[in-house]
Amino acid sequence: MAEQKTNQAVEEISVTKSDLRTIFWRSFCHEASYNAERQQALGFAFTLTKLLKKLYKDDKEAYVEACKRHTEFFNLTVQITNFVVGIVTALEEKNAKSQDKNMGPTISAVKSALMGPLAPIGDTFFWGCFRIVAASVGATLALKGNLLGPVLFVLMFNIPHLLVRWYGLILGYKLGENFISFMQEGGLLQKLTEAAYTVGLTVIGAMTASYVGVTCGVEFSIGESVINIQEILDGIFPRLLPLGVTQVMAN
Amino acid sequence: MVFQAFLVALVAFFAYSSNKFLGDAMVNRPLVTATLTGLVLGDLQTGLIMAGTLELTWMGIMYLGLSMPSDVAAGAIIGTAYAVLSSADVSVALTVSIPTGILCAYVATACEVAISFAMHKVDEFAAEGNIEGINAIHIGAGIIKAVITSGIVFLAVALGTDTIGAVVDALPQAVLSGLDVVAAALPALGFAMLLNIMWDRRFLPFYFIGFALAVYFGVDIMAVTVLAVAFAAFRFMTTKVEVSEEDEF
Repeated sequence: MAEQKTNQAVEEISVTKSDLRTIFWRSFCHEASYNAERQQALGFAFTLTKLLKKLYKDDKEAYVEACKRHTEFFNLTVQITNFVVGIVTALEEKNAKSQDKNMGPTISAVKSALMGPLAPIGDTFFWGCFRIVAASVGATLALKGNLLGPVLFVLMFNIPHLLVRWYGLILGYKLGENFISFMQEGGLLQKLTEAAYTVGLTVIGAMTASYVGVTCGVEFSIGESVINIQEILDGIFPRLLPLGVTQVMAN
Repeated sequence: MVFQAFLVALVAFFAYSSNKFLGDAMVNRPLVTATLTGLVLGDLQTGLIMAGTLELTWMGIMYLGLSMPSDVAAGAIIGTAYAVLSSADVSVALTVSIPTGILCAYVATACEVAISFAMHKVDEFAAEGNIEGINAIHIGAGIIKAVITSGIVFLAVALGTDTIGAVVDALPQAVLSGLDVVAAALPALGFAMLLNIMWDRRFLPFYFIGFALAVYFGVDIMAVTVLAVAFAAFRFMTTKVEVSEEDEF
């Protein structure tokens, strides 16, 4: 009797096909609150709302932690974001089923480690390739006054878009699921976490350098010569200010 | 004119909300928006010609970072509306659409900065586990931004694009460049938050390695990742699996 009850509980917090379908539909609103500070951060909370409610319905503390980590900075080509969402779904499921539910930092690290390298891939395929090809065909037809132009443009872009959005989610989920159960054998999870930290922090460092723009516009004039603080700073340590500002805020 | 302006604003609202709620399906591109504008104003042919021309003109404009030279959706809609309503030719219509495009681009940046301020409320909601509150901010922000930008398009058609040009000229340069500075600096907050969560002294040096690679060697993020993954894989394969109690995290 007791055993049956446990089985039932485990089933209740398992991710089903219909959960993935809900995630798929919600994922279209991923970019709604795009903003300067955290960019697509809230998209994760929105897309995973139903899942988190289901997984953590008996554990308020773990639920709050999940809400916090899915309002963190995130930015990726929206058309391929669901691949990361799929992996995160598998990780959240494992976390909810685990005894001490302490995989939170690993999940954050995986998110940051993936967005950096995937963004150029997504941008190249969707903005660089599919969009340009679809627009060239569409514009040529539209210039002749053919309504098929815009129609073909939308289709040629969105067929790959929708396929990647759905199958990316499924692929990500399967990958996350197998990878983690493989890793959990023999304490490999600890090592995976360390690897995720290494890659995640390196990528965040590189992104601080290229995304954050803080410069100093102060100029002094001594006699004839003008001293520009930013030029001096650049001579010593380029982009020192973005690094400093980020570090100060982190503490 | 007001009724036509309303129809055009509906097209703009569709374009801006598609970007937010339809997963960026590219239906805000000139090929679609100019066609729809022509359609609602009863001149599909002009709409299609404008669509083809403007798409080819603006094909190069991508969302690179935060500052955008001009708002393509607003530009295409206004340009087409002008071409249909005043029978101007394409190049004139394009010139006329520029001030509105610029204004909409600045308004979009201002919205992105403004939404950042709602993040404090988001953190409060997250701490309470109030995900519905977070979702309300998420969806509300998208709707408000679409309403504001399509409102500008409405005014541009109803009052004439000259009025919009006058507004753009009247904006003090200090405000506009200040906006760009704030928008460029704000991601620091986002990264600081990530760092807080992943604050583990043993791995912090990698943050500086990544930073230095990008700044001094100009290595792009993809290459930084390859290096980091290679190193992590090396460590992963060479360190022994140990399940020790003293390993504090």
